[in-house]
Amino acid sequence: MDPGAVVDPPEAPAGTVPVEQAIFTSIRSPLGRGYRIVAASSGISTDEKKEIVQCAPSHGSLCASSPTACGLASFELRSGRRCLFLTRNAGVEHTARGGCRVHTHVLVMDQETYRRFRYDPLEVETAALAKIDEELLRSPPTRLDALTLGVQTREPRSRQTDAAPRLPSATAKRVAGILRAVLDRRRTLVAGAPAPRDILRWTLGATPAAFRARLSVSYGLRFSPARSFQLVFADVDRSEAERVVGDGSIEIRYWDAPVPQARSSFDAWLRFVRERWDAGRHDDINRLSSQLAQEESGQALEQIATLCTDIERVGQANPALLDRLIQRHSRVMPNGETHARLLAEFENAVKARRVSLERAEQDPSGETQAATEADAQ
Amino acid sequence: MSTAATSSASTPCLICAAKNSSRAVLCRECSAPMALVHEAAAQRRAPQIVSVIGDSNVGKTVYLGFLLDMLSQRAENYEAVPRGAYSVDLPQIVISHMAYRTFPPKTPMESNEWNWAYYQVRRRVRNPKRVDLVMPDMAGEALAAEVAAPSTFRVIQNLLGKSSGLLLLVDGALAAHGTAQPDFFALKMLSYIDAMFARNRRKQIGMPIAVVLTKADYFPQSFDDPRRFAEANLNRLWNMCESRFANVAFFACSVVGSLAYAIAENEDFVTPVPLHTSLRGILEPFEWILEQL
Repeated sequence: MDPGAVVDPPEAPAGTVPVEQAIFTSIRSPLGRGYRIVAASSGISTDEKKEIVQCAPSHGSLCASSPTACGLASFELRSGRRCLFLTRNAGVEHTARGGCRVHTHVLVMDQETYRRFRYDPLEVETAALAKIDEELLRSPPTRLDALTLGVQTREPRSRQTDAAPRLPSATAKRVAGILRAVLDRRRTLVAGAPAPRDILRWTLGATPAAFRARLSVSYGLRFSPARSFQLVFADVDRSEAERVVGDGSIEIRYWDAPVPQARSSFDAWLRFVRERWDAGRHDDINRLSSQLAQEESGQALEQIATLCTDIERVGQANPALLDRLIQRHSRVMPNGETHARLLAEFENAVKARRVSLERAEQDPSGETQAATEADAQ
Repeated sequence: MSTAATSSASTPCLICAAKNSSRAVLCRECSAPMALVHEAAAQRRAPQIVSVIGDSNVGKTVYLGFLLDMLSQRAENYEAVPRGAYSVDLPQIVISHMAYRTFPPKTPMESNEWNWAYYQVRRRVRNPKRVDLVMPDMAGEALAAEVAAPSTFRVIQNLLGKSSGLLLLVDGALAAHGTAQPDFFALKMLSYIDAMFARNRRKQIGMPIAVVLTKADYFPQSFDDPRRFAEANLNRLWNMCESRFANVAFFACSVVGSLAYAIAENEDFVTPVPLHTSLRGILEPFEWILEQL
């Protein structure tokens, strides 16, 4: 298991990482025509190219037909490296038989590089789109070198706050349902989601890094058994869905349908996530999830969720509550680095609270009243 | 509402033999329609697979669509009955598009998007020979990818391995204009088949292969002697056929009667417009294959 993402000090500069790249599209050239890998950097192996061709999106593979339609896929290759498809419509296909030419920019990176992006394909997508020349869409080259992407070493506070508004309650419920399926490792096709990229971002933001590291996802691409990822956002009607996944190997979740009331070993974590979302604290969840690289079980995540909640309760706890909180966490063995760090944080908070309670005993004017009110809550 | 139930019963796919649940519409491995299995079981005989293969944009979809439509309309006294409504999708797509003076859309590489046809074919004569045929419309790019790196698309490997006959379509128009690409693709395709079927390097492969020169309206002289045209303009293909294949015939075909080219304002691409269809040489290759089966 990769080590957890360490939160760098605020002054750390953004770094860069090299990733391999390729272009899969349909152009006419002296060596061939039709959809194929037209250019690739030298670091992509033959087996990896074969795997890419097996599932790369070809004609008509984007859910939307508009010229600005886009899609993304992220999955692990058999080599163990991470592969991403950044797919766009790029004008008319050269045989002019209707429909747009589908242009896919393929990125391949090792797990350590992916970890630098917090195992978040949307972060990779943003970094890549900032670097990829738009001219490549109009005129794909025949040769490519490795691409250098900028990577942030710290989650910028302002970016997440500006990126997504607070989730409406009904949407939060649906996103939590999708998150439950991800944590339960059930393959899920979400049909008809509005703004699937945003829904995916919310889902990924609350998915612990231990799950994200191996998670395969896509949005904006038509569903195909060749791209049967763990979490797929696609527009598909019921008859088409039944035709393609009629054997029930993938759970089809229609966005407008009622959320199934299933139980899961991750319910405690999901409740914690919902509470944070409802309080507008999605930054906190994103940051915490990015650090959970070793905590994978429902029990471990429940402990994390309880610990985070209790750390905040310590600050206002009266002696009785403080004792109960200490007892709850005193004999717990940490499940991973983040758990250990949070336990240390809890202990520090307890020490600080004890000091403040002792001072309050000596100066009973205000502290005891506040502690009693906190206990009543 | 979400659907997550699985069925415990298993049905092997006709193409790849993978086990599928009885509820599956498409094979979970190769995306071939499971209806093929059910239809074959109803007929109590295994169908024969005739594969139409060729490079991208050579005209496989148009050829196969018109062929099936002609058979359904009892051309040359043939009777072809579709087994399953899905078998009619391809001719419907092709005929409908051509009626509106457009070519049908490009066939995607994803095998779940391919059109499959399962037809029971016989000649309306005394003591007719009935043949059940499965003819998938494959994407040319998928064929090219499989030929370049075998096992990229196992469904193609399985299909070709189980084929009783092949219709190898070659872009005769490009060849007539001096382009070597059709010749190289055909050579690669035949090399792939040779590697797949050859048990003995000294013995030629006996599977019937009809080499069909498409878009022959560009070079109508090929109708007189397609074999000679291939020898002159597709020499690599010709040599490979002579060396390694015992049962090859050459044909020329054409679908388009006249073709126009349209360009819209503010656009930099040209759209070919089939003004009307004039079918020629569509049935003969199929007829020959049927006689060889």
